[in-house]
Amino acid sequence: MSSAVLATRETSAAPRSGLRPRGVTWLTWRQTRAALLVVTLGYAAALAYLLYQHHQFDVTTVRLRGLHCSTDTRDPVSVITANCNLAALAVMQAASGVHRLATVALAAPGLLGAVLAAQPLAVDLERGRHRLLWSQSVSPRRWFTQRMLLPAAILLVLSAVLSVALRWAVLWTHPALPIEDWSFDNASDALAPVYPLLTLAAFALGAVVGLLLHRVIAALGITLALYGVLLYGMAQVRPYLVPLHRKVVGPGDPWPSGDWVYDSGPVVHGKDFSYSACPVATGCDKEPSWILYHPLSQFGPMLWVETGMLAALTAGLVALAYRRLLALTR
Amino acid sequence: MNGEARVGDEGTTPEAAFAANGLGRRYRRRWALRDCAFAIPAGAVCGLVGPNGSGKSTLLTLGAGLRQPTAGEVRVHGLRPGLDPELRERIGFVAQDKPLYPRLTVAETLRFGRELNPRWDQELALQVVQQGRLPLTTRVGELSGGQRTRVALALALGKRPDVLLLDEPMSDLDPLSRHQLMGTLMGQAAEHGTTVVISTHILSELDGVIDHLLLVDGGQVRLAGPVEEILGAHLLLDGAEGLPLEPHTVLEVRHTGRGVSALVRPDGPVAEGWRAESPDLEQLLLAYLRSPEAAPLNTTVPSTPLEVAA
Repeated sequence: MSSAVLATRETSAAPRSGLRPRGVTWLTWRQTRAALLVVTLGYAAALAYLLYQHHQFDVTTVRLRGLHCSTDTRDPVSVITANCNLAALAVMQAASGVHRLATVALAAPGLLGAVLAAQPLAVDLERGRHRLLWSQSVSPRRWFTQRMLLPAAILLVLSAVLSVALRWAVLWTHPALPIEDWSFDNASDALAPVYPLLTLAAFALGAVVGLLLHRVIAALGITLALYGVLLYGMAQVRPYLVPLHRKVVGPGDPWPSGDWVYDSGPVVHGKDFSYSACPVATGCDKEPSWILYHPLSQFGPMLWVETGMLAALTAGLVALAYRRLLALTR
Repeated sequence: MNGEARVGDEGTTPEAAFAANGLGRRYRRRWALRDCAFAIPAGAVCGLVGPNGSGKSTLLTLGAGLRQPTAGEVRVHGLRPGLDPELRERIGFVAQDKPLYPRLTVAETLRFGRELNPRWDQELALQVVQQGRLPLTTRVGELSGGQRTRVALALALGKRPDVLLLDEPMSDLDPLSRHQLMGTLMGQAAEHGTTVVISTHILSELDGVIDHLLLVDGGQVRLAGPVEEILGAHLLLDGAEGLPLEPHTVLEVRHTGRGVSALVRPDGPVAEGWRAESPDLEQLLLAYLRSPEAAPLNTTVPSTPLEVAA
């Protein structure tokens, strides 16, 4: 047996200066840079679409107001009506474009949690590459932390930028978008501060599923399914996050404008009933109505309560992920 | 043992590089290893042998700190693998299936090693790769199985570990690559005092290479100790039918057409009529593997419990 004895050499660990990514961060960057670039471009495109739609909303609103549809004009009535309808339609289209963007943006955290957290962890465990990683000079805990930190930080920044821009477009600009479309709606979860925490929660969910399942396809599917369950659950608990208000509205009186009416029914002989109890022939048109509702002023606090819940969920999932990681090395 | 100083005995012999005491590992209800005890001295080249499912990979995984024992303890240079952080950079491990990132190039894989290991030896890693004429710009996923093995070994060697645990590293290498890499491994052991533990099925590969032996079968250590000592403790007897084998410990008796062949652990003089010779390593290992009921021989068991390094 010949021995290829090599001369003594100095060790040459990676240099530790400069801002370039090092250690596990370098590996994470190398493995996810293409995906992170696509995600960044996606968020940038969403932001550009939002700004464009908001600009369209401004322009069409000014045009609608310029038509003075509710005032006298020397134009023939048919022309006024047509112009007003078209201008109003353009305003609505611009507003609904923003709403649609928010609804679509809600799907992104689940997808990103599946692709950027569940998939890479599951594939490393499925193909035994965790043994390669954990037999280097970094601990599994440090590897996992740094492996997750870079994409999580980038997603946090991107989701925060988009959600703040959405909130600006919906609540903070003049003219503002019609808030009735947003308040207490599912799409409101795409607003800051809920959306960044929703993104982190979905990412942590993906990490836990990836560590638990060790199967790529299953991890992707389960993460998406659980994210759907999360969104559904949030929609179910949303009415109870802040106390409901109750009031009685007389027949013909206007109902609260911009508020979220959660439930209502007729008041008959001083008692609350549901509308299904009204006689088919006469109905309850002449009876006052009871209303359970959230006033518009509760919209902001409700978003913060949702954010707190998601922060707690994220912390729980992160703790679960570290616990699972520990179990994998025992 | 007879009160002799053994590897791992406190203050008497060189430090045990890889040692276990009462070591057991259970997967659900099945014990992969049970009550294993051994001590391999620093700088040894140890062959880890055993049939499929005997617990070799589990033992190496425990040594690398990728799993923790269910019972007993395992120590590398007196420290607990996977628990004592200062040990991480001192252990190199190559898993049986040589997992690597297929999308990284060979050069990037070496950078992976450099980024994650403070004692990284880029020149050595490059030398191992270039010995196999692997282009640095080729993706690992495009390499053959043997070439991937070479990259995995380059990663493990470049880490400059004190203890190198290799799980069937040569199984998919061609004879020339096997010869080259074994030479490099031996060179590392000689130059840096690296302790090398190689599990293998290719028994002939071990002859003349290893100086320590660990035979694991059924999750238990059946042979452990310096090769010369183990070989010296056995005799291969050839003779006619009916010759006495007492008072020796008989490990295997094979009836041939011309007589009887027996592997024994001698205990006193051999009876007249037997032709006695020392077995070679392959003969010895095959005899033990064929005779699962043969009594174990462990010359490395520490006489004192393993101490946790301060």
